[in-house]
Amino acid sequence: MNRSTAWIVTSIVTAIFAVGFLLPLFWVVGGGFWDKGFTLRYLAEVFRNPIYVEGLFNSLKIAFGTTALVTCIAVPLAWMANRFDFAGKPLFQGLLLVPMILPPFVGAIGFQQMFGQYGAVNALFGLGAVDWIGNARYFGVIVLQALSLYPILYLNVAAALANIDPAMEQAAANLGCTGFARFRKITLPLIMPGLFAGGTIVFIWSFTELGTPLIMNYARCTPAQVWDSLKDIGSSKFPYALVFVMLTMSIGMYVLGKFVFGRGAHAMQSKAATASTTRAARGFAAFLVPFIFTVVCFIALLPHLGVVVTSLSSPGSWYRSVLPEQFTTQNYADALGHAMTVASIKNSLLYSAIAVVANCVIGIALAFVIVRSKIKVRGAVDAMAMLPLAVPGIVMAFGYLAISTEISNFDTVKQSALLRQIFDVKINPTLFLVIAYAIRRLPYMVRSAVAGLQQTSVTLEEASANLGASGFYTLRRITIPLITANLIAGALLAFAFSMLEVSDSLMLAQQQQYFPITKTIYELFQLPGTGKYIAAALGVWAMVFLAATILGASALLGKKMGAIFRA
Amino acid sequence: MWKNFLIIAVLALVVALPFAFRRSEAVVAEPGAPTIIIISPHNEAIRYEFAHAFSRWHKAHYGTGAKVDWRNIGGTTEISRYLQGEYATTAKAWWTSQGKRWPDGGTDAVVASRPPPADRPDLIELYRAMRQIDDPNKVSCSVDLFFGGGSYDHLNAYQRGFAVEPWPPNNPTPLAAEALAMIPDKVAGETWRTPTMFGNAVSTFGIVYNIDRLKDLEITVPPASWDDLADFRYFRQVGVTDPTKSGSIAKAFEMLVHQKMHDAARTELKASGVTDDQVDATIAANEKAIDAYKASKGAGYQRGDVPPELAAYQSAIERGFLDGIALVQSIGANARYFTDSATKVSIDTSVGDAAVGMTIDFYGRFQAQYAKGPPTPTEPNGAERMIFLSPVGGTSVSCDPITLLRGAPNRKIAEHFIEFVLSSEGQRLWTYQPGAIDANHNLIGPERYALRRLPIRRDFYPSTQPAIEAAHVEHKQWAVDDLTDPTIDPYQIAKQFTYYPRWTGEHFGVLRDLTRAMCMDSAEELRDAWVIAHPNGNPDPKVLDAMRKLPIVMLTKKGDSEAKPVELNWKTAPNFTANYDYLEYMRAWTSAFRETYRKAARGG
Repeated sequence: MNRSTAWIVTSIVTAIFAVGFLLPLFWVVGGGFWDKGFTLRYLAEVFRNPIYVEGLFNSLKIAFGTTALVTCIAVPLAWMANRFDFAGKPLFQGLLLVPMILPPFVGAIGFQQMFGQYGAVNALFGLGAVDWIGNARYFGVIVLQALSLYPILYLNVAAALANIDPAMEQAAANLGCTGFARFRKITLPLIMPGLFAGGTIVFIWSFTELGTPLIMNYARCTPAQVWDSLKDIGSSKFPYALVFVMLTMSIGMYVLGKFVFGRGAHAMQSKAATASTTRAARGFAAFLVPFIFTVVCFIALLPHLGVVVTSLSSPGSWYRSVLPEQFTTQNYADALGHAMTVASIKNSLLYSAIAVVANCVIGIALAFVIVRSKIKVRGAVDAMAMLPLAVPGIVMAFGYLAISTEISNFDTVKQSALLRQIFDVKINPTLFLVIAYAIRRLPYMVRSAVAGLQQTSVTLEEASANLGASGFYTLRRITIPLITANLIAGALLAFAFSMLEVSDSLMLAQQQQYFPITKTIYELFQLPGTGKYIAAALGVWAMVFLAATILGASALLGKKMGAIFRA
Repeated sequence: MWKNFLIIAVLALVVALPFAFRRSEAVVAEPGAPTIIIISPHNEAIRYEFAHAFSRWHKAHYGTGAKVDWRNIGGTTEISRYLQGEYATTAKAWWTSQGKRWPDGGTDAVVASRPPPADRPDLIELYRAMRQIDDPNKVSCSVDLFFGGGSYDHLNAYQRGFAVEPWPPNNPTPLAAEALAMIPDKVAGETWRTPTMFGNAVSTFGIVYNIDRLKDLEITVPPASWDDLADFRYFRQVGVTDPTKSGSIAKAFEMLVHQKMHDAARTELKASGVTDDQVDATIAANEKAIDAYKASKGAGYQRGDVPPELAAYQSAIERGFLDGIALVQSIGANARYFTDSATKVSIDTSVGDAAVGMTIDFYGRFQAQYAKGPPTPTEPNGAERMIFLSPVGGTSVSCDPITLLRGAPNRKIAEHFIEFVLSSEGQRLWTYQPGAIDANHNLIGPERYALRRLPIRRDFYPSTQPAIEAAHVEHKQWAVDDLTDPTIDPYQIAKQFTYYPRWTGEHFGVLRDLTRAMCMDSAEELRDAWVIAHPNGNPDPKVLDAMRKLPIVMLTKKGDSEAKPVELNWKTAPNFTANYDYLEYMRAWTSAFRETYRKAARGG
C-alpha cells in the first residue's frame, strides 16, 4: 500500500472511528477529568484506594490465568484438528465453537442448574450440596472464562495453522528437526500472528469481562468494581476514571504483548497445500484425539446444556435431580409465540448483518494500513482498533444516547421527520445500534484480517501489480481470496457477538418494535415465576440459530468446518 | 447439493419457527387514539396489562381509547441517568437559543438536587429557570410519565426538578380526589404520596428460605426475624440485595437498624421499671419530650442533646444504633453476595443455591409458588420448597410511585393515566386473578398475567369503616393473595412498626455508604474474621468485639485544610455525608474496616 493511499484510508477510518467510538466514549469518560475545571483527583483515587488497586491486580491475574488456560486448551485442539482426520471431526469442529454463543441472562441460570448446590452435577455424583460456585473463587472464574473464550483463540490458531506451507515443516523434518522441537522452532513462530490475534482478544476480554465474576460472586476485580460504581454515575464522576484506567491498562497490556510476542511475523510465499498435511489418526491417537475433543466440548457445553434443559422443564421440576421430573414444550410456545419475539429476531438480524458488513469494510481497510503500509502511525491505528474491547458496553451506551439527544436538539433535525427517524434513538435506534454493534465488534475483524495479511506474502500482490492489475483488482482477486478464512472467522465472531450484544441493546432500543433479541430475552426473564424458563427457551432458539449459521456458513462454502480456514 | 439444501432448510426452519408460533395480539386502541409516553422499569406483564386496561378505561371515561408508548431502558439507575442527560441537553439548547451564554457548570446545575452556591448567580438563574418552565417545546425529556421504581428514585427526580404536579395539590380532578382520599401521605415513616409523586402499589421486605437447605444445614427452627440471618450456620448462604443500588432496599436496612434501636430502648425502659405494655407509649412520650427540648434550644441544639432525665434513654438509642450496625455487619458476613438484581435472591433460594435471603414480597411469593414440586398423590399442589415470610418486629412498607415529568408532551392523557392508576379499576390489576369478570361479563382484572402486587388503596384491605370494609370484601373475592391476612395487609404490617425520624432519618444515606465499606468492599476480610470469630461454630466474644469496633479515621472537613480524627457513631454518622468528601471517607472507612477485620482474625 503506497503512502498516500495509506494516509487516505487511515484518515477516513480514523474519522469513522472517532465519530463512532472516541466521541461517545470521551463524551462520557471525559467527565472523570472535569470538576469545575480539569482535575486528576478521580484518577488518583483509583490508585489511592487499596480496594481498586487490588481489583486491578486481581483482574490482571484473571486475564493472565484465563489466557494461559485458553492457550492450553485451544492450541492443542487446533493442532490436532489441523493434523488429523478422526471420527466425528466435522461435528466436533462445529461444537467447539458453540461455547461462545451462550445467550445472556439465562446463561447464568444454565450454569447454576448444573453447578448449583442442588444442581445436576452434585445430583449425578451424589455429592450432596457441594458449593462449587461459592468455593471456586479465582480458579472458578478463570476456568469458566477459559471454557467460554477458547473458541476465539481456536478459530485464530486454526486459521494460522491452515495458512502454514507444509513445505516449511517438511524441510525442518528433512533437516532432522522433528516432534516438539519442530513445533517450537517452526510451527509456533509461523502461527504467532494467529496466536497473538486470538490471545490479545482473550486477554483483553477476560481482563474486562463482567458476567463471569458476577456469576462466581468474585467482586474484587475491576470490571465488577466498574459495574458497581457505574450505579453512582449520577452523583459521582469517579466511575469514569475507573473506566479510563481499565481502558488504559488494556491498551498498555496489548502494546506490551505486541512488543514481546507480536514482532517478526513470518509470511508465507505460497499458500498451504492442505491435503498433504492432514492424515488419519491411527492407533492410540484414533481414540485419544476424539476423546479429548469430547471432554472439552462436554465440559464447555454444560452451561448450554443447562439452558436447553431449563427451557424444557416445567417450573420447579428441576431440583436436586440430574434431569427435570417433568418436561414441557410450553416454554417454547410462550417464548416463540410472544408478540415481541418475531420483531426482535428481524431487528437483530438486520442490525447485526449491517454491522458485520461495516465491520468487514473497515476491518480490511484497517488491516491493510496496519500490515501493508509503512506509515508511522500504523502502530497507533492498531492499538486504537482494540480499544472497543476494553470499554464496558453501558459506558458506550450512555455516550451514544447523549450524542443522539444532542443531535436531536439541532433545529434542522427537530424540524425534519426523516432526520429524527435517523438520529433520535427515542424514535428509531437503528443507526446507533448498528454503529454500536459495528464498533464494539470491530476488534475481531481487524485481528483476523491482520493475522491473515501477516501470513500472506506481499510478493503475491506485487506480482499482480507487476502484471498490470489495479490495486482494487488485486485486492478483489488476490488478497481477499487469500485471507477469506480469516475474514470468515472474524465475521462469524462479529455476527455472533452482535446478535448477543446486551448493554447497547438494553439502553438504546427503547420501544418494543425496535427491540433486538437480547432485549426480548431480558424482558421475558423479568417475568416473575416463569420468566427464566421462557427466556431460556428463546435463548435456546438464539443458540440454535447461531450454531446453524456457523455450521451453515462453512457448508455453503462447500467445505467442512475445519476446512474453511484453509482458503 | 443435498447437503446445502438441508442446511438452508434447517436455517429456514429455525427462522420460521417464531413466525409459526406467533400469537395474534388484541388491538390496544383504535387508530388515531391519543398516545402517552411512559418510561418504566416495570416488566412486560405489568406493561401489557396497564396498557390494555388503560385504553378500556379511557374509552369509558373520556370517549376514546388510548395507547401507551413504553420506553424501556433498564432499571431505575438507567432511567435516572437518562432523565439527567435529556434534561441537561434540552435545557442547554433552549438556554442558548435565547442568545444566553451557557455558564460553566451549567450541565450539572440544571439537574442538581440542591441549588448552586450563592457566589454563582449565573447558575442560580439557570437553576431557577429550569424549575419554572414546563413546556414540551423548550425543556423536555420527550416522556410524559415515570412509572415504577422506588419512592427514593421519584423523590430524587423531584429534587432534581424533573417532576411537576399534575393538578394543584388542593384541587385535584374529581377522579383523582376520590382516589387520593384512599391513599395516605406517609405510613410508618415511608412517603407514599407527595404533590408530584403518587404511590400506587406497595411492597414489603421479607425473608425467604429453602426448606431443604435448612435441613441440610441442620437448622430445625426456620428464620423468623432479621436477627436470625446473623446465625453463623448461614455462613455464605444468605442472599442479600445491594442496598446501595436501590432506595427501597436501603430503606429496609434502615428499618432493620431502627428495629434494633427500638429493642435497645425497650430493654432500657424495662430495666428502669416500665412494664411491657407501657414501653411503646413511654418511647412516644420520650420522643415528644425530646422534640420539645430541641425546639426550645433552637439553633443551639446539637444531635443527641436531651433533657437530663432522658440521658439513659438516649444512651440506649445510641447503643441500639451500634447494635443495628453490628447486625448489618453479621448479615453481611454471612452474605453469599450483594446483588443488584431484584429477582436473583428469590430465584437462588428457590433452587437451593442460597439457604435464606432478603427479598421483596412479591418476588418471594411468586417464586415460592413456582418453586413447588410437581403434584403427588399426597401433595396435589406440589411440595413446598421455599417459604416467604414477613420478619417478626415488622418491616418497612415502601411504595412504587408514578410521577408526571416536566415538559410532558402529552400532558392531558398523562394526567388521565395517573387517575387510572390510582382508581379502583387500575388498582385491581395489581392483585386480581387474570380473566376475572363481573356479573355483566366485563373484564375487571388483568387479561393475561397475575401481577401479584399489593395495591396501595386503603379500600382493598380490612377496615372498621363500613364503606371501606364493603369495598375490601368485594375486592377480596377476586384477589390472588389473601388481602385479609395480617402478614400481607400492608396497613397491618406498617402498624407493627413505629418510625421515629429522629432515630435514623438523617442516617439513611450514611447507612448505605457504611454497608458498602463495612460489608461489600471489605467482604473478603470480613468473612475471614467471621470464620475466626466462630471456632467450632460457636461465637468467640473477644473476636466479635474486636470486629465490631467502628473506625476512627483521619478526614479533612470541607473548607478545612487539616485532617482530624473523626469517630463514627450515632451522633456523628450523618455529618460524614454533609461535611466530608465521599471518596475520602469511603477510602478511609474501607481501609479501617479491613485492618480491623485482619486484626480480629489474628485474634483480636
